Amino acid sequence: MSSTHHGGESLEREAWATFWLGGEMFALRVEDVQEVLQQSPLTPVPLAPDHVVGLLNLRGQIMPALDLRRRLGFPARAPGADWFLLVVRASEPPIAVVVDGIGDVLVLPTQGWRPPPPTLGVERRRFVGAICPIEAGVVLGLRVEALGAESPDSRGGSR
Amino acid sequence: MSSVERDPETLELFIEESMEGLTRVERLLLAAEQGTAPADLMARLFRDMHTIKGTSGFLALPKILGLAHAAEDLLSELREGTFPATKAHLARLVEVVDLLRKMVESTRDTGDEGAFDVTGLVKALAEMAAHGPATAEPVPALGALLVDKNVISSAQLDAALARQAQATPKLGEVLVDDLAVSKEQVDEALAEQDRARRDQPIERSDGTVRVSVGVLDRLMNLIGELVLARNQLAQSLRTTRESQPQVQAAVQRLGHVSSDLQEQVMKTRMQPVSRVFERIPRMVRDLSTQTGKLVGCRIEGNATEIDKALVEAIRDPVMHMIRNAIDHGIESAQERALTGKPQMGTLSVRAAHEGGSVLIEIQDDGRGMDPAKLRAHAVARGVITAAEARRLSDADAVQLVFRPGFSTAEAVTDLSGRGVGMDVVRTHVEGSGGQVELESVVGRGTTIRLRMPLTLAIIPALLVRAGTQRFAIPQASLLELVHLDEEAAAKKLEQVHGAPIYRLRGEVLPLVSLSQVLRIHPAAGSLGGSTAVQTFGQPAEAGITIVVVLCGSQRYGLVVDGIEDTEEIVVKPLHPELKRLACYSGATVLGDGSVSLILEAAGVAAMAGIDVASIRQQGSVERARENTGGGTQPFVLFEAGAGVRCVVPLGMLSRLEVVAANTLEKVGPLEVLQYRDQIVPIVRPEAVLPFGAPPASDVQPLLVFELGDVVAMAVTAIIDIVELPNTEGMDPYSLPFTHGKRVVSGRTTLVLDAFAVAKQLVPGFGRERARVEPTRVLVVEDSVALRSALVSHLRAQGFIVSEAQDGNAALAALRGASAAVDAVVTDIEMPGMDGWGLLTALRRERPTLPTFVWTFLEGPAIVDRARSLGARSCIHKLQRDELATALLAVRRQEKAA
Repeated sequence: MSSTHHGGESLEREAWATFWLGGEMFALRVEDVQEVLQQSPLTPVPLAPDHVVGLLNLRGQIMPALDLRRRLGFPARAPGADWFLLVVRASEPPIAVVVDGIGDVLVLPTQGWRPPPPTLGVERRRFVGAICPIEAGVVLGLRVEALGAESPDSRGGSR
Repeated sequence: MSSVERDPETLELFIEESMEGLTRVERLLLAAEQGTAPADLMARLFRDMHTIKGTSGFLALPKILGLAHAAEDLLSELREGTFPATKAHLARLVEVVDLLRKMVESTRDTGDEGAFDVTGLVKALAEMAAHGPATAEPVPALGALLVDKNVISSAQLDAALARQAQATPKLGEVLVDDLAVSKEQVDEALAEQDRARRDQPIERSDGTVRVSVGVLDRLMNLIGELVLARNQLAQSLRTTRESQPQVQAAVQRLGHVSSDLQEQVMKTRMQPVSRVFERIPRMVRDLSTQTGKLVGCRIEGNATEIDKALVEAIRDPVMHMIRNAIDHGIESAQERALTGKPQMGTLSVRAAHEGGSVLIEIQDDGRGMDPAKLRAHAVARGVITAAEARRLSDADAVQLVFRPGFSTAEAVTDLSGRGVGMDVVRTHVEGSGGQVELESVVGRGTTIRLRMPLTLAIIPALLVRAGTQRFAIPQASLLELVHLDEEAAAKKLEQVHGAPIYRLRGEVLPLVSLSQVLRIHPAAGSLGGSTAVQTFGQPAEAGITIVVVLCGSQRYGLVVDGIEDTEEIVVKPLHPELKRLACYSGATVLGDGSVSLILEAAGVAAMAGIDVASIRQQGSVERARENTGGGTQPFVLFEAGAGVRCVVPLGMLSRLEVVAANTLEKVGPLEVLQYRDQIVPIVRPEAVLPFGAPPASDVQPLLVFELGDVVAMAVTAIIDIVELPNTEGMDPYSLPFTHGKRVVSGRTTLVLDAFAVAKQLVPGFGRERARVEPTRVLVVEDSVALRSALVSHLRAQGFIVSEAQDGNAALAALRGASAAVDAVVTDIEMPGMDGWGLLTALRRERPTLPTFVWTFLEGPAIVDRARSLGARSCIHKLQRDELATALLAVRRQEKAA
């Protein structure tokens, strides 16, 4: 599973699942994304934080769906506009994130990633761990661990 | 056999940790055999083995220590790469894991490692660590070995094999029978085969399979899914008009099968309560040693099974109650002998299945709980007032131990005192869907019963609607459903400014609107609405549906927009991010595949701003009032604004007046009245409370207050003087400017805080005096709760208050240079120097300092004694306003002097 010990010194590459959000291209590691869903029914959670759009029933597993637009401070999605759900399994328990559109899977060199520029803004830098330039522009690498939000890790305390 | 005394907590941790470690090691070993092990395999194995070695050494478990040590040595070599790891190594390590596991299990079950022999394995490991493994070839068949050694020919072997196939004796015996080989030759070959076999991974096969809890949880989830799918199918079948009988039969069968399956999987999660009970005898022994009491314990129903999660949930409560029973319940041997009881006390712990739940009973034959003492204690702790205490029945008094704050400083001994009281026990148990009951007979003993559900995973629930969204309420917290049509709603719902109530068979039921709490349709009626129906923003023709829910031992009414079905739901936890929302306990998938949130009654109450503990208190106050006794105080009952019923204590008034409306004059923003050569400011409660405008009238009834300054309150009508219990209503809806509400002649009535109203409306009222010459009061009281309540009350009225916890502290403060005090308020019963002592000392040291006795004690003897020691007056602790008035009088007298 670990992609670390093949390939030469500087040619390590990883596959990234890309998606669109407010006209920009974001990416998550392919292995962090469990699946992509078309618009699905979500149950709203009254009194929940703003960015929690609702609860998703993924074959019996209930997970919160977070609107990445709200999370990253983009303007709200136009009513009637398309949206998709990415089920992120890297966070435990899993969550789903609402995005504008799904892009290709890109294989990017590990060396290509740079720290995000300060111009990105504080809010977004919380969620964008690194950026990677590609021919068509730039890919913003999302920090999975920031998505699960301010909840401190409450697992393990079993009594 | 366990000669070494071990700390049970550490031991339990060790067992848990070791079992996990061993499972991990086993998984890694299996992965290694299949060639899928991680690169740092040996380092990982080494870590786990090292931990087991370390802890077992600490706990004096020599065999486990020895074996883990030997395994660790071998792993250390392998980790260093001294020689490559082979299948033989892995096989040995699997053996190690098995044996370690057996010993750890034995330690868990019996407290002893058990009669296992580790020497052979330790030796083998040591050899491997020294030399590396024997080469690992596949185990050769015995026949092949003999042919290889030219002992027999292949033809002989085939013949023998054929005979073996017919009769199934062992091949060696067949060959010996055939006289083809000698017994020695076979034995030699067998020994060789054995050696080869030892280098192979061994196969395990027994009647049980170890399954991780994770797998079971997943399985449980899937069963839940199956149940949901069944529900869905059944539902769609119901709505389809022409359903085929075969399909219906199949669905029915599916229903049976999934129920069975559910039950079976549930069983796998079941654990015997012995997991908790097995620690009791030891604990009883330790506690009786520490307390010097003789206690025998009897345990029944060890095998009773309960969901794993609930085993954990009952552990702490059970332990706590046993500690309580020995510490407080059972008497010393001498005391028992005196009362004719057997010297040895008996503690019996019993578990049994009873009607779909598990009953756990803890019974002692000790001294029982004395209702009188409990009452006194509860009053002293400020849990209830003296008046309430007097009205509690003995059976109710025993329930006081469940009140928050009852658990006491005095009762904190070595054993029970850990800052947890029975209220925590109750909260814990109820949090897991259980109930606690307590019975106690003085001199005979105490019985506590825990009733726990069998499982938490699948529960029956009622589906309700708020707006268009559905929510599930667990059946366990459901008491009844009440539907009121428009007319009944208008008549029966009362409202005290945003705090609607319904009188259910005489009991006040606070109402909470679900859609309002969850802000589901914010456009709904505002809280300030003047009729109850409006409050819920519901069209009147729909009436109102109230779900009466249980919340602790009290109930409240949840107003919903509709009731749907009941359904068996599978409880799923919410994502940690949503766990902060106390109003939900989880979520579930409904029959139609949609997700529904599960409501938590206590959380909803909290969100609505209702304090559950207060509701409890309120409930019992109300109950207490019904069997009313003495301890009443006169109140003036009047209407204010558009007809809101209010009371104020008569003692605060100097007069009741009715004047012509046109005698009131306007001075700036203020209304005043010339009254007995004074200009008296007029206050109207509707100016600060949403009481509505009073009807126009020629006459103006006034309540004239003497609150330091004179102020008159303009009211709509003075109705009556009524005697009311002088409890301070612990009211969940205490509005600003009120002391809560009372039920007076069957109607909800506000207790108005005239002082606060005047202070708000009359510029400089109270404050100005405070600026000029605030009265400095020293409050001497040992109960922190009572002291801080009084101090903040007095401070709110403009006094400068200092505090002391007993007579000695008070004297020290008064002797201090900076301590200028105008009056002293002292409790009587205090540790250290009591109130009498303080009064005596003050009479000597500060004869001019006004003193006030502030006590729960009553009767002429107390008053006389206080007077004789120079106290100005003796005021009952419930009469805070009387005290404030008396303290104000101190300053007036000084002014006059």
